[in-house]
Amino acid sequence: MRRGRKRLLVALAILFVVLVGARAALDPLVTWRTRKVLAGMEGMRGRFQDVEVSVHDLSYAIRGLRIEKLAPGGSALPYFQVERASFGLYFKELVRGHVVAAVELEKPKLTLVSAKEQPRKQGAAEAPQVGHGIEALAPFRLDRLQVKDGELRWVDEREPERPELWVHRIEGTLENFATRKALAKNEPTVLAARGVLQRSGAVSLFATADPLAKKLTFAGQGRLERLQLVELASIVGAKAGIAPDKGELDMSLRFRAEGGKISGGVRPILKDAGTRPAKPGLGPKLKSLLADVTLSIFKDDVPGREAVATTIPIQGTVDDPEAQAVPTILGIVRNAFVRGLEDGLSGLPPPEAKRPENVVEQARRALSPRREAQPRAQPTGEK
Amino acid sequence: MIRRRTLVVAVALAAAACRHPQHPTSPAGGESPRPEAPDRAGEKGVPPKAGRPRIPAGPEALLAPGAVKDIQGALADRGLLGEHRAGELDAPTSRALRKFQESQDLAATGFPDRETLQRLGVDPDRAYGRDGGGKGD
Repeated sequence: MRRGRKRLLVALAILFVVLVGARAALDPLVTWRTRKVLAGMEGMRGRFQDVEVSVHDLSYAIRGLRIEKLAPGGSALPYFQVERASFGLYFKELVRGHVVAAVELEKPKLTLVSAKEQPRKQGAAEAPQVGHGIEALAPFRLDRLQVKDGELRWVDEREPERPELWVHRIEGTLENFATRKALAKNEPTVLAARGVLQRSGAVSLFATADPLAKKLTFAGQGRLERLQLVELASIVGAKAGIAPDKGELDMSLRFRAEGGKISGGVRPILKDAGTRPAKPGLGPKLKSLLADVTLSIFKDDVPGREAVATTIPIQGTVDDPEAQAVPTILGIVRNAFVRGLEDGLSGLPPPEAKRPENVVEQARRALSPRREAQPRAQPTGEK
Repeated sequence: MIRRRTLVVAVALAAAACRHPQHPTSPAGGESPRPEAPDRAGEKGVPPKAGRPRIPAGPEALLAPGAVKDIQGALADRGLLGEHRAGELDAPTSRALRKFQESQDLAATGFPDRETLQRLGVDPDRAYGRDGGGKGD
């Protein structure tokens, strides 16, 4: 009896030592494994401060992660960094046989660079079969991804001026992303985010999606408020040769994608806008003059507001959403009446014409005094 | 050439003629246009199909009828929400949600996500319409 108890105690002591040893070895082991994964990334290099693993709440956290892209000359360009990223599994769900995770990113920064090569154009028939791709992954559900104080920088290297778009102070959540229908519980994936564009523009975005649909299916809306146009000078100047030198931009956006086709509308409202030539030469000067004259003609006459608004229909495949030129221009004409000011989101997305309309028909709609007669998105070639 | 010039002048005159005094209903002066309630039809997003989840384009279309009132009640109980439009996810409600999210160390989106609802004491399944809608029905 006494011997049996002694054996049990020895066994428990061994088990305890093994568990303590395993726990002590876990952090260095995971650190080694993380280093190995980062070292194996093609064309990139990564480093981090430390990792910590918690057996208690099944979580893994990495601190001070920094991933850089290696340029052909040997220089390293910042790509992604995060102050702290944590990944955890829900024990209760794991017991039921479901892998359900939560991810939190604190102060992540992502830098995207548009290189000079042209993106491949993709037709509607080639829209990716996302659903099948996701179902090929192991069954799991991302219950919640949370981003706090994030930053996204886009640099356009196709232009010599290297203009930048910068969204910062990003707060965002993504909920209910599942790789199996049963795990999704027939609920959509929901994205909500807020941030600041350049220095002054308050941006908010809401979207829902069905990631398991055969072709991309999502819908959402966004809003940009009080962006000082001068902050877009480098990006507009690089493309157009003229740059805004004063004014403010508000913008509402609504979009919908079903079966790989995207539709929607953007309604920008320019207030007290003016331009200057961004490049030397007579061409940009004339363009700037013309733009100022156009803004002056199409602004409303409410004292102190000086606003110009339009509705830009978006229509195309998910991979190549294109703003249509004719309805866009006519939208500007129509909004000489600045109806858009009173209802930023109502009427978005603009309705689609049942059949292709010629320029005269589009002009008639755009110039009609009837409020509901806004320009219509034109159906694309395919039926 | 002359004909083209005449056409350009005519178009410019026609455009200029379109410019006339406005009497809009939105606020005048230097004020920004009032952030409006989005139209409900557009908020519905992708029409629901059998066996597929609904894909609404706006947050209010995702929430069950009456859920916004429940959320506003929970925010008001905490002293975070003052004057607001009852039952609408308006700017004051969104601001109050952001304040609450900041206090809870959650991402301050101003949108009532599931974690925020749970911490507000509002049942997320009920608020998202999986359990018959909010109390305010």
